[in-house]
Amino acid sequence: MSARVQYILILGAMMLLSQLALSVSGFILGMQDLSYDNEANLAATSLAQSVLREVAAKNFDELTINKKVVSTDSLTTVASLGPDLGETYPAFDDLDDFNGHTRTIATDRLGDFTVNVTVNYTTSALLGAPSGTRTFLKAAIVTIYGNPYLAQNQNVVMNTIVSY
Amino acid sequence: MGSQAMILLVGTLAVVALFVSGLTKAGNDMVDNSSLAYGENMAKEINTAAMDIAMRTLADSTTWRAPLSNLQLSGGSATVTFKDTLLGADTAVVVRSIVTFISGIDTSYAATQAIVKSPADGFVPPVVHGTMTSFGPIDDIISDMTIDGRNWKDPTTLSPQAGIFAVSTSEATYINTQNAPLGATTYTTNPATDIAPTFPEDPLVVETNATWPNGPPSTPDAALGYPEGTLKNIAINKLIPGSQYVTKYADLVFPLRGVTYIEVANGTWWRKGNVDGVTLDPTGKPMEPRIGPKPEGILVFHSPATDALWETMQAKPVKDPFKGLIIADKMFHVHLDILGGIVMLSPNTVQGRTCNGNNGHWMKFSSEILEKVTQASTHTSDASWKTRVKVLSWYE
Amino acid sequence: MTFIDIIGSTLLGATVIVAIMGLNLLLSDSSRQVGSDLNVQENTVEFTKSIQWDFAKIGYRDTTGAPILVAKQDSVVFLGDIDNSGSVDTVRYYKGLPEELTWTPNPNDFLLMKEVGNASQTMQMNIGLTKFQLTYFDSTGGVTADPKLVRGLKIAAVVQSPYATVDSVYSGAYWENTIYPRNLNVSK
Repeated sequence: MSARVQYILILGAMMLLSQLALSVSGFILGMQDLSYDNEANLAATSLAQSVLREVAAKNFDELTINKKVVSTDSLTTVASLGPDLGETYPAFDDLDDFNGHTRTIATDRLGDFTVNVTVNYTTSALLGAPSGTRTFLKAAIVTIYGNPYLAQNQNVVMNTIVSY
Repeated sequence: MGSQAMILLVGTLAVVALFVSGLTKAGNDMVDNSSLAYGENMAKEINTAAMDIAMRTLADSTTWRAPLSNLQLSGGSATVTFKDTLLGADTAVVVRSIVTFISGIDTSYAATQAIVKSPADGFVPPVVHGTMTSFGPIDDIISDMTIDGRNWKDPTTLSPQAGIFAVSTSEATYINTQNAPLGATTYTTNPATDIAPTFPEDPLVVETNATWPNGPPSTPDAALGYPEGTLKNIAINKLIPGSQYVTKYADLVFPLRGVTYIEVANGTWWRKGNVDGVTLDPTGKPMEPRIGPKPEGILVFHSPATDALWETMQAKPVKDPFKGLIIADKMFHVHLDILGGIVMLSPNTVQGRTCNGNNGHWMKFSSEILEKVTQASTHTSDASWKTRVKVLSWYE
Repeated sequence: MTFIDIIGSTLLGATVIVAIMGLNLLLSDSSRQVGSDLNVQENTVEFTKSIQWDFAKIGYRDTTGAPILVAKQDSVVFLGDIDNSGSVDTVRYYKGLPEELTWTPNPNDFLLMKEVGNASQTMQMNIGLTKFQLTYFDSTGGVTADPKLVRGLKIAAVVQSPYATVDSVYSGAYWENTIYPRNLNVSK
């Protein structure tokens, strides 16, 4: 093989090797991101579950705290779902106080996550979709987002239904 | 040399490919793992929601047994079944929920089995501190009848170590002026001790200075912890079979059942010889405010000012015991047997009079009877499934 | 072949070898890191399932009415038929001390002990826990330390790898769960 061909082959090999090194580096960085993303997903899932249970543990309605009701007419109106006057977290005493609630939760490893909660009336026919009238079922939706390790625009959503 | 470089490169490529393949698999496993964690938690939440819907369904209709099939909840699917079962002599309902949730390539499952009683049992109202509970002095009211706070299933069968006080008053003192034998269960010992009725009574059978969390109730609904108007509504609309609402004695229908709500004018005084202005009965004898044969349920006697007095309540001509709970503003001369309890709302009870010759009668506390008579009214007074459905066990 | 050729080819050869060795090292480190991360994350999920299973059974078949016997930040004792055998178990979860776990280089990890019935039935769970913290809630959702008032619990945990990977950093994952066992929260 002539020297020229040898040089061309060597140059080619060098170029391919450097291209390979670049690709591998990019791949490895991607793997690192994936690892953090999954760790963040695990943390976010557990936070979503925790907040959902915190919400569901509260009294069903402001008007059922230490009182009994027999009619949905006695419950908080749809328009008034949310914290009562003067109530702020963590002093919420019924589950729809969490409607519209947003806060930051700090974790040990990955920093802060943001949580948002929505609470609506629902029915056994709507199965979680909002009802325009008062019922003895409320749906709570918890969204976790806002952590730099979560993939861009990704959030974790969990929801449940609570019955009076 | 160039070809050797190429060979080296190809070799390197092969090794890199091996590593990349392994890393890619690890990455996929990580994604599957976090997806699985999400799926498992979602399946549990859907399961919880499905069971809440099921309990709500049972609370609204105690006879519901049709399955709730294929509920599409939060991206998963739940099916709930209801099946009757026997627990000893009691009937109960087995409620089972099975959920599937698909996340990525994984399918997560969750399941719950609950055994419930629908409708739930009633309860012994917290206001019933003693077989006779009063918010005023009772020194002269008890007469010489036997009052037993031990827990009786029926007039002759005792449930040991499960009773209450014989009498309870918010007054600071109680003097047994008419030698009534009093008995109770005391919890000052561990285990509790049943004290048979005696006179003089054991001091442990009487509660004085009794207190209530929200102060003494002044209405029958407040006494039971129901929303105001519950008992009256049950009576007027006969939500419990046999219930009745009357404003005068002549309108009462016997036997008494369910909720009997007698709402009278302020200052009403029913007594022998004058009941709502009626002095003689159809036979020409002095009118007596009797409560008829085999009376049971919740009997309310109340005026808006909480000052109505029922004097000489009796069960003549037959001498059946009243089984249930009497909630009256004031009572005096209780000439009948009572299995259950009495609560008197007025603090201005009858004083300075005597009632002898009543020693043939008794009052016995019975949690079983009180739970039975409050069962239906509890169901009507509170829409919460936790009141209407009694959970015996919950496995998830 | 001239002297320049020899020098040139030596340099080139060395460059290529160094490049390949570097690539190999990178891939090797990455494999170790990712493998460790995967292991920790999988351990975390398995631990979750185990804890959720047991804690959901708190109070199941208990007839005492007070199934939580001990409610501390680092340990809990409760009654519940966790294996659905028909008899109520006394279950105790508690942390071991980091210094007891001597066979891992991680100085902060500890064993989680699970005792069912009595001390002879103790299981040591070595999953790399470096944090295991319990918080208890009453019926209003307020924090309580009174076992009789407990209606819910939160478990917060951090799981780490036993060995450090790249840059002496341990792989890890944070997880928490809040459970309101149904057998604690309905009138029976």
